[in-house]
Amino acid sequence: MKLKLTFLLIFCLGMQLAFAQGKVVTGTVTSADDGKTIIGVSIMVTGTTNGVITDLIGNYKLTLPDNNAILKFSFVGFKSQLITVGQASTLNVVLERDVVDLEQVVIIGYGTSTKEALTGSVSTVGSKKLEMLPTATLQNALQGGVSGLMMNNSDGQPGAGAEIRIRGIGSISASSEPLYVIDGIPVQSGSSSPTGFSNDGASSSIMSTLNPNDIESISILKDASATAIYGSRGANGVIIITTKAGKEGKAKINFSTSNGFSTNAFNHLQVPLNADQYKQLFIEGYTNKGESVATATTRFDSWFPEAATTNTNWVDEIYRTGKTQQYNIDINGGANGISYFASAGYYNQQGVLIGTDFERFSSRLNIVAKLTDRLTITNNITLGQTTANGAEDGTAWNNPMHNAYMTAPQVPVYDQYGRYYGDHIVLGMNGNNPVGNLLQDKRWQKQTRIMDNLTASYKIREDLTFKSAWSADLVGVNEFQYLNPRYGEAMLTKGRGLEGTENNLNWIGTQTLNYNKLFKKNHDFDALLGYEAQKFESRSVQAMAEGYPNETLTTLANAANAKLATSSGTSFSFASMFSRFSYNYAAKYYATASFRRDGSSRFGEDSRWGNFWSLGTSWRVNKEDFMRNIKWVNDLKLRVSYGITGNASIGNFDAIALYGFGYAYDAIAGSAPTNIGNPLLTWEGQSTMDLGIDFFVFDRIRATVNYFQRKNNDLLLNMPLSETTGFNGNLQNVGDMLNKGFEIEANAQIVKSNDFKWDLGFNITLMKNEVTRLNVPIIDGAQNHTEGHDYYEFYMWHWAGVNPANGQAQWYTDATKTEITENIAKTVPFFTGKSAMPSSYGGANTNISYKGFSLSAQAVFVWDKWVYNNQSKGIESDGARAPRSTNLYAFENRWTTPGQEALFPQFVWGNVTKSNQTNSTRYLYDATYIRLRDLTFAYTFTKAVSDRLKISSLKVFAQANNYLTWVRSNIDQYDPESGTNGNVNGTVPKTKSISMGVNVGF
Amino acid sequence: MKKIINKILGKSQLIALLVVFFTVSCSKDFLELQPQQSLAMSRALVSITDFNAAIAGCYDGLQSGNYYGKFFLVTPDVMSDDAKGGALVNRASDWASYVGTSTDRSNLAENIWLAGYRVIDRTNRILETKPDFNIDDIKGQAYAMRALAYFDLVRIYAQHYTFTADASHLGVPIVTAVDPLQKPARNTVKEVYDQVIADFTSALPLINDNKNSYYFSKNAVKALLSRVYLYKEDWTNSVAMANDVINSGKYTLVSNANYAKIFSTDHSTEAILEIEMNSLDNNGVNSIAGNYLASGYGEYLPSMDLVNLVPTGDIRKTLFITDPKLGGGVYGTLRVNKYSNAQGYDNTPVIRLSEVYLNQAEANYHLTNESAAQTDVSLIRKRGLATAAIVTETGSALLEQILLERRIELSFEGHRLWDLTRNKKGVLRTNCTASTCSIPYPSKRFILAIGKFETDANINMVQNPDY
Repeated sequence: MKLKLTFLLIFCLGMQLAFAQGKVVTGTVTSADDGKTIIGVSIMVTGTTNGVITDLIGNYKLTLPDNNAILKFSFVGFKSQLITVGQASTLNVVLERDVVDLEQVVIIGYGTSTKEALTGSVSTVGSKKLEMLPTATLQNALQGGVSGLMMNNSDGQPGAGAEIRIRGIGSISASSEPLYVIDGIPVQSGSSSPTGFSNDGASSSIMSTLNPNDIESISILKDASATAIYGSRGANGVIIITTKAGKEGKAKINFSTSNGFSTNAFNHLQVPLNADQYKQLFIEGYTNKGESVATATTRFDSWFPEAATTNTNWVDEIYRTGKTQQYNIDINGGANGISYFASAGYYNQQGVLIGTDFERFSSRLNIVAKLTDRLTITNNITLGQTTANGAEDGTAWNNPMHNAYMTAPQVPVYDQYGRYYGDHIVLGMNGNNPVGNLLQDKRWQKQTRIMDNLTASYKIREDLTFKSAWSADLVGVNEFQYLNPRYGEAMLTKGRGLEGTENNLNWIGTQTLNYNKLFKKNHDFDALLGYEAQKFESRSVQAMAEGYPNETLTTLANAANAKLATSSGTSFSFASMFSRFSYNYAAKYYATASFRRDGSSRFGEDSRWGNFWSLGTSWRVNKEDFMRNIKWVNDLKLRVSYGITGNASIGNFDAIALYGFGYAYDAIAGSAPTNIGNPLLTWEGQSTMDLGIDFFVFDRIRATVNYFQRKNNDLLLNMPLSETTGFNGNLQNVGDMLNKGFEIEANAQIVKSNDFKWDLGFNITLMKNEVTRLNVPIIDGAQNHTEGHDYYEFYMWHWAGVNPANGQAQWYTDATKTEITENIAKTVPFFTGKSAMPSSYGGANTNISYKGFSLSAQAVFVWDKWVYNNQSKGIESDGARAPRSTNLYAFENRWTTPGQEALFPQFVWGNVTKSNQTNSTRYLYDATYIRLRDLTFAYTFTKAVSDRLKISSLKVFAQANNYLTWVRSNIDQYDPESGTNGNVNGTVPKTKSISMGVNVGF
Repeated sequence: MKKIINKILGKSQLIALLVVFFTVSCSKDFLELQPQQSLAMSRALVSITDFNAAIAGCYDGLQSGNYYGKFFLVTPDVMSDDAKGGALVNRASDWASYVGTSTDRSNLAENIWLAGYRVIDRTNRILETKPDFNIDDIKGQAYAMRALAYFDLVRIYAQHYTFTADASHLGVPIVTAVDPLQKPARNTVKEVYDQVIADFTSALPLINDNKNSYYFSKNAVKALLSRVYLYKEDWTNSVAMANDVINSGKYTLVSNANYAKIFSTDHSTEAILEIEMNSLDNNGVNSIAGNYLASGYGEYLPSMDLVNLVPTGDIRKTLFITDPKLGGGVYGTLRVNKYSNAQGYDNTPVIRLSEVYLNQAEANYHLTNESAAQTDVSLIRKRGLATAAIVTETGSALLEQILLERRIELSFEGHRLWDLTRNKKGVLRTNCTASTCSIPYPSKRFILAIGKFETDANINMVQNPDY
């Protein structure tokens, strides 16, 4: 914003000098909002380059050639006005706020730009989308709304993390997550989890400490022209979050609250067996094995002593209706050059899984102090604390979402003493009780985050500004797990407690010099030069104890045996120099060049420093003379950019050959080689090409089409080593990958009368990924990363159905699919042609408002994405592991009689046919879906009502989130939303919610 | 106020400030951070303390769940006729049913291989380093451990020594130097045995003998050599080595009364080498005990084929306990209780004095010293059951008695499969829960596949036939 003002100031001062003659008109420009004067409004004589801006008290004075001049009053965030001067010599103008125009200022790396001036590909999301979100993390607001951006989150745990991929997958071994920048500072993202609460990042996120209501805008930088200024961290795209700032004037208070209820979003989740079905299957499983019904029944009776009186639906037992409530209050205002924005928020969500929840307290204070004409100090500080209770995911017996399907309905929830039942150890699965697991055992995480950013900016000359920004991002995470001594995982050790803390400090100092000058009317020149140093330090402590005397006291102090006491620390540092030169000629031809030189402790000694750069140009075709008469084209811009960025999200010490400790024998500390090391190890490279066209036509339709090509090179790979070395791999920079595709974003204002407005928007990303160089294929679970294939293409054993004659599983022997066998040992896995990378994704949204009423809707879609359900091999195992229960679908579709065409094989306890082979196409599902992400109805009361209530505004709203889901698959047993890699891992299914709220302005 | 600030930030100061900011550009150290939990390899083997830690790290490799922690014993045992899968069988069950592949259910084909070579790599790093102080004892242990690892790998991944007349069939690659990029081919079984014997022989003069059964002593090396020579059918050397150990006077057979406890006792009088397991090693249900006990995974049960061979009243029968929850039928009602500590704190026996007697007996039988053989077998048999008759059989019947005693005495210690195959016998199960119950000798399936990871990563690696 400030840059823009500076730019305008210089621009207009120059103009004024050039045209200082003729009629003089003066006036004051005020805001329709509050009647206050506005500083820095641009007043231009249309068709000329003659103009001024309003001064510190909102006044202007302009010299005109004649009375026919038409003045254009424009200011960021307000609707422009055209006024014919006529005879008047005083023109006071009232400007109205304009939400659409607000998006015209675009926050970019280390500065701001405008939509017109951008040479790169940047999408923006405004604060409206982030207010009163029905979920805890801000990333959820980005799904389906931004072209090129894919947000994946399969976890219904409140406060869960989210994976964001911008324009595909940029890496194999390093992170593909974008860089997050808040108020100009690269911050910590992802998850910190000293005892594994986060389930590898799925279930928690540091970002959940931020209150999305505090955010003014989010810019998503996608191509090299936009991201190269972030050098070795720009390759995966950059998400720039800007928080709200205060506006000078009387204090304005805004209060909002909402309350909601949630349930599983998908209506057709798998169903467990009831007692009769399970008993039938139990006996059948043994008679199919050759035992008599009598023997099997005897065993049944001995294993299930409570069978006569028990019929537990474990799935119903562990799910409930979740509740969400949130309260936000903010106040902003200011005087005498000092403005402030302060907020406090409370968010509380009880998950749909019993015992799971998330709570956040947050506060923020953003202050801007213009100490002199030259010196401005800003300080943004925020504090957030979250507390979450959650469950373990995956195929662990400790995962209630898994165990609830596998534990027989004959096992009761409670025993005769009213305690959680734990006498079923004979059934294996460690005698876990899914309900006790969630309600008696403990698994929680607390995150505390303080972020402070102090910036001083000093205008050395009118055209030269120096800025020094210092920031600290402190994250503290405390986690605790307790497993009771009586049943379940820790029965053997009489209970187990595990506590961990992790403290991270990330500090950054950034110094920039910015030069901006307009030469000879048409040559606008902007230069940025900067230096940045960053250091990250982390320290964690874990302690574990076993042997709890009772089931009520859970802290480690109550346990008999201390088992583990350990601490560890890690760190990394970056030192960087960067610069950017922007030039435009007559607001018609634009060019931007950026450069960054990064050094990092993570890179090997022999390749510690790297250079990154980009070039971007754009041409505003509608500014050309030949377009002057084509009135229906309001704006038309062509863009092209190319650049080199990097991905430094590699391990902190991967480059060094290491001996590690903790290999004790006979209580003597031992050491062993832990990393082979690679002194050449360095960042992953990326070259990005972007071609774009932006247009605005008929005053109604705005669209952007981009074609992009991301070529990733020097990808880090854990190159398989012969295990005769004692290692199975070594990180090396080999491997190339290509992501290319189209992004289309279109918005139309179908009706835009004063009372009635109707907008419609749509975006789609069509893309392809291909691994273009890889010396050896990397088999990673169900996928095989191989040259010439999509990175996430599934590589599996191919299920060929059930032999109707004998109920045995059948497999295709090889990729020719010409031969079928019942012996899986005679088959090989091969490519499926199906990938977890969708062929397209995007969303559509609409907004209808009539007077005070508004209705908005957003739908998201993912097309041609396939997912592998790793849990199914356990739950639908055809009896491979006695005596685990299964789901109704498997029960109803099993083979029972010769000649029967069945989906699933004969049920035999302990079968070794490997019909439940891991990574087989049997458990591969089509996850194509369309989901109604949001439907919001709001009513803003008329001014008459709010005046009577002595408030400035009153709005009520109702929101439905994830309410409708359509899936293409005919096997609908699982929620279609899954992680980026398409591996479904038994997390809490996604939820849908209905909430209602109110927003009051004072 | 404004004036003051303007004054403070007069131009000259400002320029000074600028210079400061741009040159905060940190010293070179700023980008040179060292890890806090590891040492750069170049600094890891410098002092005597470092070598002490490194040799402990080698033993730690033996403790791995894929090695002496569990699967190196459990896998051949469940492939033999001593164990059968229970109703909940899962881990290693591909191998128990002889349907294992290079990517088997528990990934043992890869894991056991890696566990073995991990120990070899750790020992190689010690043996490659030549410090200017004396580390003979540590080097001796490293040689011995490398020998053991090669012996173990060649037993589980290759056919027994006399499978071909000159032992020229495929063994495992011999790696004695650290080279991250090596892609070695497989050596012959003869070459591997030669390496094993050479390493054990190098170890002997270096090792000092002041150590307990958790560590390689001279006697442990000789005891293991008696087994290596036995497998190699070098009967004379086997007897010689066994004789040295027995006559060292350091070990005595535990009495009948105390026998049942030796598996949960540290340093029993007949323990020659055992891998220590304690609460810090934390194998828990992933221990050998966890494989058999109801409170662990309890996946495998003793075969009645074995149980019925143990005479009534024999102390070794008490190593089976009743678990009525097994539900009878083919599963029966018995569990293995040899490793009784549910948390896996029982040490894993590598070699005991009773085996040395039995090695000597079998070698003596082949040297036609039948009476010596009879004496040794009788000693073991009568220790189990004082009233048992002494062994008087001769000829092949005597060999049967030796192997019977060996089967009972060393059950669930990872011997049975190889005692069968090296005597050119198949696995015949009567009390059988697996899908394959009879595997006649010879079979390509008596050895594991080489893990797919290795055959993919190493172009010189040849897979075992039939995998």
